[in-house]
Amino acid sequence: MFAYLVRRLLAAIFVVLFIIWFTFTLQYLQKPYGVNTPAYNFCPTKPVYTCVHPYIVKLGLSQGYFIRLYQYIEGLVVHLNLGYSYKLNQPVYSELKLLIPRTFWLAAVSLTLAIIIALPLGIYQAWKRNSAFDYTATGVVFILYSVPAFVLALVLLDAFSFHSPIPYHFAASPPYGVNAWAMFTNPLAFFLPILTLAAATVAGLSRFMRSSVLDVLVQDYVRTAKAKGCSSRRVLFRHTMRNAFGPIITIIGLYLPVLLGGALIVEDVFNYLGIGQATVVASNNDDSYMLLAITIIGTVMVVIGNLAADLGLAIVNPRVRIEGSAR
Amino acid sequence: MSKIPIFRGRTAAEQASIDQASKSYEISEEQFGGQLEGDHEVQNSSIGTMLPTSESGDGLVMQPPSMDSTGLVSRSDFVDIGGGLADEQGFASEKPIPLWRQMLGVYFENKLAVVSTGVLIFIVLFCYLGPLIYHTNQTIYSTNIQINQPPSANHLLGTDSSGFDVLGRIMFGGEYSLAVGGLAGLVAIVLGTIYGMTSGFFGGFVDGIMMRIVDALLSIPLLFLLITIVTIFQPSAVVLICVIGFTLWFGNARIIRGDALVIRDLEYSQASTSMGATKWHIIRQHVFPNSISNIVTVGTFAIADAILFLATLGFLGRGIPVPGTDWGTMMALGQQFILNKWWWEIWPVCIVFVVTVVCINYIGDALRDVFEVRLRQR
Repeated sequence: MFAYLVRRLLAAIFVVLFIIWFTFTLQYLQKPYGVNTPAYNFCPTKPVYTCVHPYIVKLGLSQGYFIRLYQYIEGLVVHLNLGYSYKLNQPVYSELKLLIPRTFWLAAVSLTLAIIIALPLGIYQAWKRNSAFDYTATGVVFILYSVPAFVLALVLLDAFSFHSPIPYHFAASPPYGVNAWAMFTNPLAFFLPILTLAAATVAGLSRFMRSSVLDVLVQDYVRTAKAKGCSSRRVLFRHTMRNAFGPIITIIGLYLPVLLGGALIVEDVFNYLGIGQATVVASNNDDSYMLLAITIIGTVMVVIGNLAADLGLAIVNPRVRIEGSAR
Repeated sequence: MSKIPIFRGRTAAEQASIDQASKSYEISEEQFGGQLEGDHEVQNSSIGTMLPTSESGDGLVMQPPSMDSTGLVSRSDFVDIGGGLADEQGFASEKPIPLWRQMLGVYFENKLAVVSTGVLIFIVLFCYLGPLIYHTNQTIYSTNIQINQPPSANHLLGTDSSGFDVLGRIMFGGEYSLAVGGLAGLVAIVLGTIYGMTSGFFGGFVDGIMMRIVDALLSIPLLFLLITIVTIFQPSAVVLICVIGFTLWFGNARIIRGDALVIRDLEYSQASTSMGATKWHIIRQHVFPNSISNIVTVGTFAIADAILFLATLGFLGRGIPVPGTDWGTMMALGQQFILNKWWWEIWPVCIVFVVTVVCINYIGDALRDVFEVRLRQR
């Protein structure tokens, strides 16, 4: 198990270093002045050499590629310095420090909710496969799955504003609050963003849950368990579910990038303050350095999530724990 | 190219003579009864799962020639271990149906796919030929009196906040959405194919490095990456095609790499190698033709994804810049008025967009089934 975790950790470090290199190189491709663009930001009315050059020297932009890459990595890894937003004229971290936990909580609560819904749904569908319930659920999930997250958000926004099923205008109070705990003190305001993200996630996950359980249900050991007279509850919970959890954890790990993308759209539609909305604002401001930092943060979040999934996999699957062979 | 004898299917005349030969063989088998069965068990186990090469004009035969010493076609040509089509119909009782005809048959059996194809063709015609019939102004901003008008005889779906006719706008935006999405999907599948084939074919160390890079790219949240790159390069139709294409190929590369990895180790590839074929020849003659099915299927989904990502970017304000537009940008504009209940500015374009994406996905599903024809034979 130790060797397995070390290998996954090395892979994770490789991913993070790769994305750091990638974002760093993107700095050189910026429009319109390449890596010198931040220096030109200081001379908006007079983009000439005499104005720009002092800033290029001051910001260290004239140094070589590898020296700057080294400094960039050192700054990120050692000092956790995410860079400087030249458009907002302040460090990226001071902008994002309140937003990161908010996005994290949005994603985490929605994912938890989605798992709570999708897991029993998938198991029940597989258990009663080809029944009317199975077909209905598959149909509903397919519709949810085909509708992109932002259309789903718009439909729910419309459905829960004027046409709200309960006498409450869900879109009237935006999901603000000093920090993420507002989610728990004022749940009605956060209802729509969480519902949208959870619905999109259920659509993404429950098909895999169903097929993962189905794969286990046809195994020999399930038949043996039935043959030796186990109750169906015991077969389901003892023999099927424990074995189905492995693939499900892997799939949830793989789903994390999509989840963050969904969070971005949901934050944009529902005006939820988070790194997704910050991304959209930064994009419309042409704030490249903010975007590069956010890309790194998003990747690190996904990588940490994947590591957690690997750990979970090792816990539920003895084969991984002992041999360290499963991917 | 070095001259290597490669089996390319049979001509009709050859096929007829083989049929003739096999019929006489069938009779002799009846006479000998079970005795021959044992023989063929041995032969069966020795054949590889040969897939047809794609270039023969006059109908393909599903199995490779495995002539026995007498020069006749042995039963193992038509029967496989699993017991497929030929097993049920008896031994080569009729001329095999050409592969493409079988595929077309399977495609048309799938009613959903046929409807989807029809709807998709309709949407494409609607976007590209519609403006020739339904003339609208899509260039000049209108005065106050014409904006946000509800549907009327003059404007079948009303006007938007800039005074543009919404129905004409959907056509105009659709031209960009379909073209950019389609081309971006094409870029994605070409890149994915090249990368995946290289990785899968060479295997070993090269494969390890190349796939770790894909793993790394797959753990980046795609939407964040896409927005970042689009912002850095500034959106335009060409930039969007390249950027969406360059960010969508990772998954495709993985699937195609899996194909290549399997096919290069199959018996017929090994046979080619033993006959002195170059690596390039094996890629061109065996690996590529046999992974076409996955390439086409994955490519269809890539186009759907590309249209989806273009709309997402448009929705977030980074779509085709003015004076052009795309469906996502239109949705972003209409979203502002969703609480005004000005439905014509948002829902029609949403419906057209979702229907397009769903149709392409259905076609992809159907294509996957179509190519399973090949698997059914095994």
